[in-house]
Amino acid sequence: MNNVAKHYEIIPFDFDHAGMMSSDIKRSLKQLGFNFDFIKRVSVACYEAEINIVIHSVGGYGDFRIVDNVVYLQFIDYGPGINDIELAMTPGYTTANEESRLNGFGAGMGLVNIKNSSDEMVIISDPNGTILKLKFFITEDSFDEH
Amino acid sequence: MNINAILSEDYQLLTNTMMLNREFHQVYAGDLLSIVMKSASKGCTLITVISNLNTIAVAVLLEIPAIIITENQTITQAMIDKANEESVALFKTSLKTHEVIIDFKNRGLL
Ligand SMILES: Nc1ncnc2c1ncn2[C@@H]1O[C@H](COP(=O)(O)OP(=O)(O)O)[C@@H](O)[C@H]1O
Ligand SMILES: [Mg+2]
Repeated sequence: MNNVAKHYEIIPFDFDHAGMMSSDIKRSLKQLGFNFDFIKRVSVACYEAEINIVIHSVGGYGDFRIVDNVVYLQFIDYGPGINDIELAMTPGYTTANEESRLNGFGAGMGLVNIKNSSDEMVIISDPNGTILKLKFFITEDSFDEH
Repeated sequence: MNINAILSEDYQLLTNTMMLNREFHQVYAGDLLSIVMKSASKGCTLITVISNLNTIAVAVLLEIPAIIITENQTITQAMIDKANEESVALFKTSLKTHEVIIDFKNRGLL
């Protein structure tokens, strides 16, 4: 599985294409034989991270890689950054605008969902941009028993 | 429960009829997609007022076979195409979300 590596551009306020990366990754993971629960964890985290770049940033990209027994997701955007990460992690906290909320976003649960779905989460952020690194460990439980 | 059972004069099917003989289990109602992703279970029918491509995207992620868009929201052709492509049955209704749940209960779909 070590040769899986994909790169996706994420465009700000492009609600129509938001979710493309997570759908595509879901498809790849399905082909590789992972079970529903594992795929759901990865794709929910991916979806939330993608949407955050769409609704909160000036744009960026996402990378998906599998190396040894880890699925890696990495997201980089070009700002404006998260001022107070602890506050941003609080369930229900959101700065999403009206347009985002009318589209069903801005529950303030994205970062919490990402934290709960991933095995490791690291956020680095300053006004120059935000980097979000996620790991999902591949174990026996990532596949259905046969 | 068969998705076909949802059909009545209150619900308009927008996608093709091929998906109708698939099954759904229970319903989940919600308009905040992050909460839907956290709480809706695989195989349920999603009842929501949120009508955009992301509604379909979330259904695909969760393997939700049917979506009911309530309160007569506008549904774009792009959404219908996407739902057909992803095999999600898409319904439109003028009922409000809670009215759909009551109707499902009355018709024994829940
Ligand atoms: N990539 C990002 N760039 C700038 N701010 C962000 C980013 N991601 C999250 N945030 C900030 O953190 C808050 C909480 O994010 P999240 O938990 O995903 O909830 P929501 O997206 O529903 O607002 C956002 O409202 C926003 O202020
Ligand atoms: Mg978010």
